[in-house]
Amino acid sequence: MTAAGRLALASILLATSAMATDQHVIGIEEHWVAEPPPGVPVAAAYGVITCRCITSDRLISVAAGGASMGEFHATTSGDGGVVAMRRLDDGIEIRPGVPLVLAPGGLHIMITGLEERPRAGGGIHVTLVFERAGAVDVVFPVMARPAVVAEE
Amino acid sequence: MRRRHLVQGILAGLLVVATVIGVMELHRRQTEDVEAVIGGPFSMLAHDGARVTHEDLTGRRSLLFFGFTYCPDICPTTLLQVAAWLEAMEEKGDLIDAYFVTVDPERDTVERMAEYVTYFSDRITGLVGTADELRQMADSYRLYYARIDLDDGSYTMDHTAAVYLMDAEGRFFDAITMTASFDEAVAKLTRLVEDG
Ligand SMILES: [Cu+2]
Repeated sequence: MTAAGRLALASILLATSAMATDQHVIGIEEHWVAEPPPGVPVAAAYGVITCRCITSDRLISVAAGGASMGEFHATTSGDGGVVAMRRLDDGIEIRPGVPLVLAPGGLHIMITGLEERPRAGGGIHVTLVFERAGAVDVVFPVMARPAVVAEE
Repeated sequence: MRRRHLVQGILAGLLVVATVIGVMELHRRQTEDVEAVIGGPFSMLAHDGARVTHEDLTGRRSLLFFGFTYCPDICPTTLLQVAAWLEAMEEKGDLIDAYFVTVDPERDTVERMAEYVTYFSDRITGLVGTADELRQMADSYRLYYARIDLDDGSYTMDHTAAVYLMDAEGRFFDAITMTASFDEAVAKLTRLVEDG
């Protein structure tokens, strides 16, 4: 076996043992809520969710502080440039090692019935409920939507 | 024998040329059809209370797109994109009037629209019509919109998301779709200012 081959094998074994010991770890990163414009009681939350696990998990429900309801939505664009937003009734599957990306124009957590307008710099308490991992509490920072810049 | 091959060759060549001309002609007609059908009469209130009609498009270059203020994802993204394109064009951007038209007049009042668009940019004018005025504009612009009721009693709107560019005579010039890159969009807008 070459040195590179041994290294690859070692890292595979290491990853496997990590999975066996940390049985089911949910990671939530780059999470944020877009500050809604004035007068709009709905907001979208985004982020990257990972599952360090052996079997898939599923995000089944979401609740947000100061809001009446949270749902999982997908923005889709179909024929003739028509865009639609649809609720994902069965939640969202998270497969082992495959990051679930919630980002503008794709998937988002929809927060509706906000009592107060969340402002950039603040935070919203969000409880994400997973089928296997159970409830995970996270504070989502509120940020202004980033300005669009020309690509390099 | 060789002569027959030559004749067959010429005939085949002519057939190819005829097909190419036919396809080009068909494409030209289809393009003209699209240009002829997008655009036409409308009348709505701007977010500052002024009435804006199709006559206001004459003599100016315009950009129109459609959405609603309760739209949490795609509309804010498009508003920020449009603002950034116009910003990048510097003084050429000032030659283009940008309109964001609501497809949800039930919830979007002129006051709400004013708060909404000015939050994103001072380069975009919000337009609000009555249900009938929206219907008329949708007919003129071949716009699709539909109310989708949700379980909790609220609703969302499906709608056409393309950005329409109209020339100085108020005719369709080009469209920018959601998949266009920043540079492609700015290039189309620059062409609108120069040739529209
Ligand atoms: Cu949504």
